[in-house]
Amino acid sequence: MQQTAGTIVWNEHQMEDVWLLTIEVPRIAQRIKPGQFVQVKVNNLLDPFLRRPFSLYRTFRDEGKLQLLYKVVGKGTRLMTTLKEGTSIDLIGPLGRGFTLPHHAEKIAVVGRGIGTAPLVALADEASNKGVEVYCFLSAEEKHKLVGLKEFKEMGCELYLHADTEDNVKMVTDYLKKLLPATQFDGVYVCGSKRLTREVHNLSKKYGFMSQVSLEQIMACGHGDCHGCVVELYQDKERSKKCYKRVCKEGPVFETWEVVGVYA
Amino acid sequence: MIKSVKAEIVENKPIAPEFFRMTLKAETLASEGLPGQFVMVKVSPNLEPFLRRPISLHQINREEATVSLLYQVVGKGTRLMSETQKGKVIELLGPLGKGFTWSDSDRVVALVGGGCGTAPLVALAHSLLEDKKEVHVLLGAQTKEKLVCEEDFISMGAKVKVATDDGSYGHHGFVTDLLKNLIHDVALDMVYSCGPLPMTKEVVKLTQEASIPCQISLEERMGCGIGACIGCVCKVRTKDGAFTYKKVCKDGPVFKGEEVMFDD
Amino acid sequence: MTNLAVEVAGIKLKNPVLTASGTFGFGREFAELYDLNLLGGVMVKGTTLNPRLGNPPPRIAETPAGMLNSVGLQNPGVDYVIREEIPWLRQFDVAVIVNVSGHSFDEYAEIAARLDGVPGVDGLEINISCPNVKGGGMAFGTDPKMAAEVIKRVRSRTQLPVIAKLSPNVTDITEIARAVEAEGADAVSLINTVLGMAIDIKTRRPVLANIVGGLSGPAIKPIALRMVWQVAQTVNIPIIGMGGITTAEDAVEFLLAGATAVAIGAGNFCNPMTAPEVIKGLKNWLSQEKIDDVRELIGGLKT
Repeated sequence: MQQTAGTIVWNEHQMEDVWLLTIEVPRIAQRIKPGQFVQVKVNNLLDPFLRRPFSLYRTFRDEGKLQLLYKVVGKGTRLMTTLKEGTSIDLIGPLGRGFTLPHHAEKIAVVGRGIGTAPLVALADEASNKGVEVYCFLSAEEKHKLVGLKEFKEMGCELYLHADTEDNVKMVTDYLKKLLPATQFDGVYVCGSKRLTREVHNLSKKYGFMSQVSLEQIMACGHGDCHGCVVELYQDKERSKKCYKRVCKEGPVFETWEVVGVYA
Repeated sequence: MIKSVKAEIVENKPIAPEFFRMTLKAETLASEGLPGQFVMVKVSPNLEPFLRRPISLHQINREEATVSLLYQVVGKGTRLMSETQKGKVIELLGPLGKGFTWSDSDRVVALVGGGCGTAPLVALAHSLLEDKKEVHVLLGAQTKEKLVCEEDFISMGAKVKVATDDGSYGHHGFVTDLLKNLIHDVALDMVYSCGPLPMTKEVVKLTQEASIPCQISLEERMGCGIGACIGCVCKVRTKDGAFTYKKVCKDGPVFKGEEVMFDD
Repeated sequence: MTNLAVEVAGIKLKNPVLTASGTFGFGREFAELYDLNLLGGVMVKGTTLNPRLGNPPPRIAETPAGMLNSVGLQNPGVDYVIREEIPWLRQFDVAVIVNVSGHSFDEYAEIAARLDGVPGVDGLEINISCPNVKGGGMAFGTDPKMAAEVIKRVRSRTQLPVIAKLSPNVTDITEIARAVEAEGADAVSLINTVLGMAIDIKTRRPVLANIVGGLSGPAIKPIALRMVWQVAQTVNIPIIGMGGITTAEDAVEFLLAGATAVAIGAGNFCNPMTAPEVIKGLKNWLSQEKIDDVRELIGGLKT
């Protein structure tokens, strides 16, 4: 983890309330892994008081650049839209535990909804660069709110899309269900929806593949000291005991079986 | 009439180390503002810094409907002001306070400015010269680099003399040395002063000794800036020899030299 | 049509937003910026029996998301207020609540008596954060017995609604609230400022001439909100909540915590249009949430 100043290369409105921030910050860009995040200081003042955590969206390691995809939901993110190219930005990172990509993985699936899709783009990027086949199951309220389409297409991923307004399937994981068990996935990674997480978890139990979820929580320090960002998790697969784990330190990536919320 | 105004920044650039001149498109301020008055500047759109910053009107241009503020970067608020770019719109409250006054019978006047205190004297000199007065301007600065506005006064037609603490330009010594000489050489009808407290005290002393009327512009930390909170007071002599507190934002910032009590 | 009108201690307010004492003078300055008729009420500057000079400057220090003040109750005295300020305010359709400050039981009682029956005065806000100079200088509001005695004396000299303004600088504000309710306070307003200080490290001196001052602004909002909630659980009389309100959402938080009305104080300095903007924002929010009556929010916190 480093606290370091980066330079804003580009801060572009993508669609609706979603923006893409490109930052030149070699010290973090070269080391950050998919699933990890950075803590962003949105201005030089005491208000907003806390930094804002964002997962890695993409990294261009040879250029020393990384990208964060963010949705405007409050004071901090609204301020971020005013960040100007060429100006300095204070970041802390890389933080947290990223996704686990098994060494000899041949095929993985990513399942994302809305802005939750962001960290999955980073994972798909790394995986496809290693020659892993990536299947993407993407969901959103409406078609134009689907995230990462351009990037996933560029990476040559197999895409399955679903918007709430469509009714050919109930949810995007129905496409995944149809592919199983014929298609063997070495890992399935989900982010952005409790429902989809539950679906993925149930499928992973049934078919035995590894499945991980990326969670979020309101953070203060972001590096494990304050214990403010905990979630309640199961300590064991038998669900005999619960515990609190820090989303910033033991997470944000957890195994789907740990998450209390998946057992409805 | 106090108005809450949104003004576009036409220019905001340094004119000396730590000194900036901000020119704003502000019709009401330009048409109603008077030399010696000030505005309360909202330096940040957030809650931090919390209070507005009181800055004197430096130049009032009725024809172009603009006003300029000359400010020194001394803290959080002024630093933010210096970083605000051309084209941005900032909120101002004003015009505020009681400005400088003059009458037809004042024919020869002296303006004594120290450091950033010189700012409001530019607007004053402009008005006095328009009224065909003979205007002597005495400027004091720590060093030649920190001297501001000399050119403005000369080009207006004022008779300008300068003193620097380190002797790098003009008289080696205090601006009040220049005042002493001027009082000796010229029959002055009024002396106006704005600058650091020690300079102001000396100006008051010299003008009282020579029985010349004197107007001083004071500054004080302000809350509301409009006279409601009574936070920004200065001590003022009352007729019975006692004292009272007057509001620098409303009863001032311009006061008669002899009425202000300076606690040593 | 959304209803914004509320009633506190028998005082009818067209909306639940007032301006807090000490931040609004007697309304004259802000009247240049907007129509005071927009407001539910104005709580005027703290008034003492005799004119007060107040504390020497510096009286103000900015702090993170807030400010300290040690103005020291500079005011022209109750007779001047009755003669010159109240009549001017009568032109507006706003509730006028006079903040009363005293340094002895007698002083409080006397001011209350003089204000009793003055046309244009709708209520009294009793500032018990003042030190009891005859009782060793401890603030009336820090001791339930002293606070109760002030309210008792005031109550006996006036028919006007009596609102006790509570100090947060106590161990248990609910104790004070209960004590003043028992002696006949018609409502309570809280919180007053939180004691604080600032130091100039260059001069190694306190920034304020008075050394210690009162902290206001968004920095104290969580403290104020907590105290409003605690007092709402304890007393039956209505609450006027204040402390760092700068937006309509802040006002909603206070209403949910148990306040019937709110007051804007230091927020007026940060943005002079805060009060009318909060009123407008409140109306819009209620309409957006499909709530017909602002009173539905009062004490609506789910715990």
